[in-house]
Amino acid sequence: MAVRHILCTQCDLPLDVDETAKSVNCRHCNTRVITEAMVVAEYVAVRRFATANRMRITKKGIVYAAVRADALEVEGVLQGDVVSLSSIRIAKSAQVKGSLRGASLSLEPGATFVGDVAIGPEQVPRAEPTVDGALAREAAAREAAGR
Amino acid sequence: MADSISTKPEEFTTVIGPDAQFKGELTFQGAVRVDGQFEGSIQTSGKVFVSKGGKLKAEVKSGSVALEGQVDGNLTADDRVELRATAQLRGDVRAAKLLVVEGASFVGRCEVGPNLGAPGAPATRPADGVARPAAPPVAAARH
Ligand SMILES: [Zn+2]
Repeated sequence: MAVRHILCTQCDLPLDVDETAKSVNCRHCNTRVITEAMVVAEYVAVRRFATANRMRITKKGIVYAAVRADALEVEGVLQGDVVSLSSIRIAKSAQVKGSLRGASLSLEPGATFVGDVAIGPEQVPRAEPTVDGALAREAAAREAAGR
Repeated sequence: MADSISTKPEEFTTVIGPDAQFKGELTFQGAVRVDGQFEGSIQTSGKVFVSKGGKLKAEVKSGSVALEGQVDGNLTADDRVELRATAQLRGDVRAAKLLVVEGASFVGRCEVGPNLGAPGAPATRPADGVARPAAPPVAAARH
């Protein structure tokens, strides 16, 4: 079983999940976190649309939601506030309105985007915490709790 | 994105050197390279390049902009705006195309699209029929 290090899409705390798992219950905040890659090719209107994996909104996809993903590609329509832990790619066929937060951004020539942006490595929680880092944090927390 | 703004030294007719501090308005034709500090406004149909050591506190209206340094201010480009890995931008961008490379940081408002950077378009006017998003900044989406 291969393990993937992710951040909970709700509380941003690190989780280790089976690479093949489709979802996991966050042990920190008890939220069910989707962990499978998503390809969206339909109309979606929800308050919040999140996965701790890649998300691709195809040309046929129309999404009205606050979106959170590890990496995001938009070829269709997206309206809402976006958080991507790594890259945001807006293809030339895309129409995006809302705010974007991510580590990097590329807008292909022809793409339309209107909204606020916060782009840069310091704008997002670190995508893949090292196991050592997570263990060290937990050890420190245990030590602090023990005193 | 295959193409990118060429920033070969010989292409720049105006250079604000690394030790230079310039305050004022710069209106000209051609390309300018800022290696030093510039405060004010820049207007050109050519390109503006702020190199790694360059600092700009300015309103920029130009054909294209390539950034490796720091900019505080609003950028309007008829064609493209490129934020390279070391770039730091605080301000708004209005352009036909935008590239923010991994490592670069950009906080501000953005209006990008084929019709948004068009020559002659007033820089400060919001795009027709496009309202500012009513939603608060992105942080809210994380809850
Ligand atoms: Zn959680």
